[in-house]
Amino acid sequence: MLRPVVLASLLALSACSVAPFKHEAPAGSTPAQATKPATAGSGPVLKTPTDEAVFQPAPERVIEPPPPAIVEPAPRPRPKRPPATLSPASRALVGQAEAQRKKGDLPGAAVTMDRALRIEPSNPLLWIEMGRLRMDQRNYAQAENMGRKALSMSVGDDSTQSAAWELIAQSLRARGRNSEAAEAMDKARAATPR
Amino acid sequence: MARSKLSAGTRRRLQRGFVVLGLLLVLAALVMLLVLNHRVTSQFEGRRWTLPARVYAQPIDLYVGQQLSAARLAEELDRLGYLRVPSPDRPGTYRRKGDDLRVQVREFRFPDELQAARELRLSFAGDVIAGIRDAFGAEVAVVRLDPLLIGSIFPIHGEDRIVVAPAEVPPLLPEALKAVEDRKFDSHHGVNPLAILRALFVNVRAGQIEQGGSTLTQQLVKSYFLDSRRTLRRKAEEAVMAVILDARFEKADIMNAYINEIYLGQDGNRAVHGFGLASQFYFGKPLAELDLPEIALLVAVVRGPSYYDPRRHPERTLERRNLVLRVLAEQGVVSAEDAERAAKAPLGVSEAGGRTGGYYPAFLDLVRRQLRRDYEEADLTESGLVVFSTLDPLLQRAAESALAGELDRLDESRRKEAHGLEGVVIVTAPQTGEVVALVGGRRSGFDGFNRALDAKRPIGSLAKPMVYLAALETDRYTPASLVADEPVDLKLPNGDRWKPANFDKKERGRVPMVRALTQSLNLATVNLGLDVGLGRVAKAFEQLGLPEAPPELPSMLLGATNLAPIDVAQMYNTIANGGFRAPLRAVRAVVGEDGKPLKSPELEVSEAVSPEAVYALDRMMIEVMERGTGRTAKKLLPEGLVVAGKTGTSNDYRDSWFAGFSGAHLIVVWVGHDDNRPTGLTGTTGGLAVWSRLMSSIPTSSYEPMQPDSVDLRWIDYYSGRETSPYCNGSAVNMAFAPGTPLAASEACPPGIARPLVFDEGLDLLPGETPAEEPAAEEPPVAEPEIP
Repeated sequence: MLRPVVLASLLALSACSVAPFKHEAPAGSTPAQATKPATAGSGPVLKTPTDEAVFQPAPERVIEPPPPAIVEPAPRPRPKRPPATLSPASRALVGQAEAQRKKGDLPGAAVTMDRALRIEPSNPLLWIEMGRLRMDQRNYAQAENMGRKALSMSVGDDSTQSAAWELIAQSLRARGRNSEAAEAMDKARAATPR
Repeated sequence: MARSKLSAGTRRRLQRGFVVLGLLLVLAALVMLLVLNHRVTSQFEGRRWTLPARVYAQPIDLYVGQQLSAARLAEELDRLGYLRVPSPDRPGTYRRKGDDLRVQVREFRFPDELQAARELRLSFAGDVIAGIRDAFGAEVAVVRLDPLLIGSIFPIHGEDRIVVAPAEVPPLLPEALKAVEDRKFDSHHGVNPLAILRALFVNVRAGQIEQGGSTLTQQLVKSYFLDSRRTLRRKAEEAVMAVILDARFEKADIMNAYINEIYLGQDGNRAVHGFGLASQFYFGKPLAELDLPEIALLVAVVRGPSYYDPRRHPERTLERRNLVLRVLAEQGVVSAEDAERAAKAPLGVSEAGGRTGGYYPAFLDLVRRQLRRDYEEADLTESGLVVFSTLDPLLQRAAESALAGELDRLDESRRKEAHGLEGVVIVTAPQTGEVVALVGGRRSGFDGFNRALDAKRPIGSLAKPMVYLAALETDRYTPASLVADEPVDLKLPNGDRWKPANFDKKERGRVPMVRALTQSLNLATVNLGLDVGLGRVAKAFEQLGLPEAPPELPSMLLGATNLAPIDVAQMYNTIANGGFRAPLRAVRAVVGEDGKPLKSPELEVSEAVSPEAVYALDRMMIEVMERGTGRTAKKLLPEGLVVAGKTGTSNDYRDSWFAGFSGAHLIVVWVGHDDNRPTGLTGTTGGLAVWSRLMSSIPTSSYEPMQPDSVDLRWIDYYSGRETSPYCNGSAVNMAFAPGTPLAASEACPPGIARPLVFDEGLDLLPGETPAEEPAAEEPPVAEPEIP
């Protein structure tokens, strides 16, 4: 039992040098603290495919202690997500907002987009649409922010990411930040689904 | 004789003297008139009593797929004053047959367009709208109902009274006032000399002052400008001003001003002015909903609010009300049968201090302040503004009843010190920052103090997420980083010693950050915060939306900072919104009397903190609800609903907080006493109890923040911070790390294990060990002395 503990301490110490951190990394766990067995009843966060399987708490001594190791997982491939779509109600409202924009009724379009966002606040396409409206309103900083919000809501959805980067590129260009705009445009192109 | 003795010269001199004197008198009268005229008009126009701004709740959008049952929609239509009829044929009527609803929607001018009246045919499948068609059978994608009027305000004048626009006044009220108080109102010129003479005669005969001959206009003048001394000079001034008022303003305006101004009772030390407020004060409902006996009662009270106080002197007030009803019948305002039936009705006055519905003083106050902050004063003084607010009446009702219900329960179940608790609830939509509900107290009080906006209280452990966020933003810490839950003994600049302790007075040694936050460990948090730096922590407060960073004192780490609930809501809204700050807003649009929208501040967002750090923090705050100080909420919440949050308790249990969010709602709750005495409640037993009751009673969605590209989720052991496998035991938590973060692997249960292990029966626990399910994890209060 001693050898693994020493090894763990050494490795843990080396971990400290990788991640500068004032407090110590775990060194040699004590049974009471390290592996308190929990009763069943894990919440949604702990739900796994084998959730239904009956499993018992894991008292430490039952398991063969394997050589402790610092785990540096290989970067896993990002899961792709299907492109976001608008619900029929949002689609109708986006259409209406576009018509209002064409007429030059920007405040009206803003009211309409507000309605759409209330119906689907987590739909990144609506935030991109809102950003385009802000471009028309010459509120370029907000146009960029809407684009960034759309990015944060569309991880893994290439076509939406591409549209969001394009919006950001436009907002940067409108403010004369051309090199940043070009970078954003590159990202838009890179994300374009082939 | 004397006259003949006067010489012609003297006579001329005298005549000239009289002329001069006369001219002087006329001049003085003119000046007097001008002065009074100025007073009347400036006061009257400046106050804009004639047409206050009307404030609407957010309209209900109907669309296919919406979570709304036929029964709920019918309820909403009732609330909007739609009539249920066998065949809806005019705007404002509807018919419901099971899952089939036909409604004639009213015309309404929204800020973007005039929505025409139209017929809609809705079908439902369970709790969801399955189809919407118009009268011609064409599909309708989305349509608005006309919004609920939630009140009227004067944006510029901070009067905390309920005012009513003419549309909110039942037509019977002005008629009744005229019949009882001033029958010649429509024709006189402000004063009624005959009535004055009659009053004089009656008074002389009776030997005391019984009947005032004052017109409504005079009563209004008296209430506006004069004290109640009954000197002759006052009477004369009052009469002159009434004539001026009558000459310069329309009768309808004067009537509406009267309805909004006249004194109708006393609520503690606050005078109840206006029928709108009086309606809430006596009956607990809006003026527009009063029936004949209730209107008659208010008209009866006008004559002497303390003499005819329906709560203190019910008999004589009832007598007077029935007298009013007889007069109304005599004058033909109502039929004799109606009056007779109304006279049999009880007074119907609500219990003093009883709860009121449909009255949102705290929210309207927020609307008024945001208007003053965001709009030009010149625009706001325009009369007849229409304000479109963000209030969701359904949520507001749910929030009011959750707070009142839980505080009632606490009153019954707790020791005496908990009695008379007060509370605040704020609900926002995190993505847009819209304030959808705001409750300023246990009952919709009339005292004008808005706890939600003005009660600044220590936030206790609500400060902790800011400490952990600041730590995560430095990149030096991860949720698995071990922090020292070890004694703190600080010497402060003023020489005092500061020795905070954990709630249970225990120390746990080195614990992973996730556990320190989840169990709200004070010592671990202080050690972490000191290491991160007070400046960084203070900056986190500011980044999340606090107008100014709090003072950099060690005690701020445990929430000695005094904040109003609305400030807390702004900060937590940013956390719930993935690190994007959306300024809280209560006003969507304002439209002038001409139907044109004023320039309004629009929806804004800005990236306030790193999305990766917020994501990591959010996952820890989910753990608070899973296994920490927030887990009692699980008993009430729907199975599988993911929420995140934090409890807060201040010194000596004076303030009990909870701030937490689902995917669609952020709810901030404060419970405490107005006089700041201890409540005996922790954040868990007070704030969280209200929060869970509310969160479980509204339709909402799970909190599912999108994992940023630059973050990996890994399983770590909650107690050791070591990387582990989810298949080993219940102490594995899934936390966010920067890619490639080195983590020590658990020996007992290394991350490689890919399926459940099977163990011998009877070996569940090591000897002498307690299960991880600790006895109710209570919220540690801030247990340190105040730092000056």
